[in-house]
Amino acid sequence: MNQALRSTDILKRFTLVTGKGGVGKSTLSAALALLSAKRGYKTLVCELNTHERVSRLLGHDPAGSSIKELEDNLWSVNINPAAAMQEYGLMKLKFRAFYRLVFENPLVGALVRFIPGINDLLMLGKAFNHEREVDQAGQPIWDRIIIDAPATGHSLTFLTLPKVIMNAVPSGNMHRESHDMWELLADPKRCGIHLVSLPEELPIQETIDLFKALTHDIQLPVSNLFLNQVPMPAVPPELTEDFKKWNKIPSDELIKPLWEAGKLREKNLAVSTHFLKKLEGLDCPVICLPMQYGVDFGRREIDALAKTIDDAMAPHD
Amino acid sequence: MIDPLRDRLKSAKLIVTAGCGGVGKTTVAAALSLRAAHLGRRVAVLTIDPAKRLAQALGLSELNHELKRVPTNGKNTGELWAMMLDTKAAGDNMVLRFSQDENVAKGILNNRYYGYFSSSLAGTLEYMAVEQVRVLMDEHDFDLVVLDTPPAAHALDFFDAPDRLVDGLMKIPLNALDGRGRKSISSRLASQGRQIVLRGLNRLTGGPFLDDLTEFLSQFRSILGALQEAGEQVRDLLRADGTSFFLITAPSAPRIEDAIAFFGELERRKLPVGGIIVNRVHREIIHNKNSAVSASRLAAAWHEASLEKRTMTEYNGLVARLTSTLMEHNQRARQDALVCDQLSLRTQQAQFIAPRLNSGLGTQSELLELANQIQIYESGTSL
Repeated sequence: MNQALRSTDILKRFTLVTGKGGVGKSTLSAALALLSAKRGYKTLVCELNTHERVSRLLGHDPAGSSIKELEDNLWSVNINPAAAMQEYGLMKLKFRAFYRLVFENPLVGALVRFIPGINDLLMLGKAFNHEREVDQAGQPIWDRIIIDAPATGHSLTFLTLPKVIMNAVPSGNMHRESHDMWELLADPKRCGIHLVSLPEELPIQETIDLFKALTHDIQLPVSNLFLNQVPMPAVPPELTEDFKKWNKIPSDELIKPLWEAGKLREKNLAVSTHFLKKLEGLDCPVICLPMQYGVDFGRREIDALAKTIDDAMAPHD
Repeated sequence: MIDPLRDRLKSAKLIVTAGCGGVGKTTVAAALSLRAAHLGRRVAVLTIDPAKRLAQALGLSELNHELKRVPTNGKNTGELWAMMLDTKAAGDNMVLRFSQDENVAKGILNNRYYGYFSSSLAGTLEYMAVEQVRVLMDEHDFDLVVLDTPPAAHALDFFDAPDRLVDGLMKIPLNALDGRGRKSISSRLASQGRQIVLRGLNRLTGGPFLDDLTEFLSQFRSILGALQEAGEQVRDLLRADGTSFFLITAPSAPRIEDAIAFFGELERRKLPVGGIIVNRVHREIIHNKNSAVSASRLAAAWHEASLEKRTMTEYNGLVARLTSTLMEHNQRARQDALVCDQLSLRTQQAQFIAPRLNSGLGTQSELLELANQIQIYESGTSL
């Protein structure tokens, strides 16, 4: 498969970013959202009931549970299950009084809370509703929707949920809704699932496992793999081989710390390359995101990452 | 040198590692248990998450629901055993043990919602799996059990699980259903003259689903009392004298915020925190900040290492790159130290740091090296 060709399509209409906790899902979501907005797409970035990292990373105040404009073409929302539930209830039951009659019935309220995975389903459902939202002229309101999805182990449950509900509920609205959600997730033209990883043993193993579970077991297409925090080389390329051979600790007290720092970095880089090769063994384009060495991690670093992804997307000629 | 961690590893009966995902929690749990075994204790390390790498690092081909002896070497080494807690079996056992009779148990286990149901009870089955810890401690006579919990977001669910389950199920007014034949939710609403509610409900989900669910929940409720009791035993175990929680975190600002929030939650639940371990901390590389290194000086060292001679421009390039690499590294180390200070200040807890090792932590000796290098952190010192 032509990797460059596939990589040009990183920004699908419905983009989900997932991976093990702490690998940089929010960072990548922020960078993709920024890139999408800069390319002129009206973009909504969704976080799911979190501390809202994305808006902060971009240098803005948290959006909260209602949609907020962050900057040109870029909007953000923190979806929480209670609000999503109300929205869904109102959409289906049309009238607030009716909604309250149903949902304020104690038996119903308690039962609904016991539906397996109901919170996750509601949050995914709300993001899904944004995808099909249209204005009065029938045009989609959002060009791109980017979702900072839950961490690995959990994300598999999360992404399988529509199918589970589809099978558990044989008919009716909930069945139809989950069926439509599943169709969207399984459609590589409309939906992109990105997996983020770090060049470390456990995250790589989990990424490979998740990739296999998604593509083989539950049959959802993975769009791209992102390897985050790839170390920068400490030595110019033409000296790399020689530096590798320099194994004796230098006697010069001034040179020793330089040598030590260089050795450490080159070792990290070698480890990273080793893991990169493992990811490249999967049938999916891999994009490397370089380690950002700045003191703070903020807007400037997100800008740099967005540029890296932009470059990766540009057609090779 | 004072080594409170060593003391704790020698005296504790149960150590629980808790923390956010991706901070190396499972690795630290393995390292601590390995070190405790090397201190002569008979140790079992239990994990709830499937962790293939952990098994490999410990030298096991796989880790499953059977307790397995981990081969260790060294003089005066105790024993190390490992196992993955089986949440499905814990759930099934719980149902079998607590049901009044076999038919009720079968009814629950065979209900198609039982499987789905477990996912909406995030943490409950895991919590019940902890019951196995008690059994292990009582029956297998371990000196120390090291328990690795699910990542933080789920860990709080985990600690609250029995309360939540019992409260949640109690809130469902199913009492009327018990004993008097199981009326479905539809017929119950209908008999209350709430057809309109029923219609709304059907519009939301499709009716048979909720009816089935009601039936399942009313069956499940019959085992609640026993479940609550088992929950209380686990709760006592987690707060017993020999128990210590170690909070594992990584030295980045957002991780630390998560860790502090999590620490607050542990305290609020009166869980005994033994300390906070900051994992993968960068250590400063000591260097003379006042003297810049010249290219010719590097050239001399290069020759001393008998490497092929290069041009002055190349030496210059190398000095520049190495210098910025060193600066970047030390900046990271200073940042890590600041973050550790913050953590000390805000939690007032004993704090330990585990250095970022360059090994892949793929072998037992590398794990042990990590454990041996975990040391108490004193505020304001360089790392």
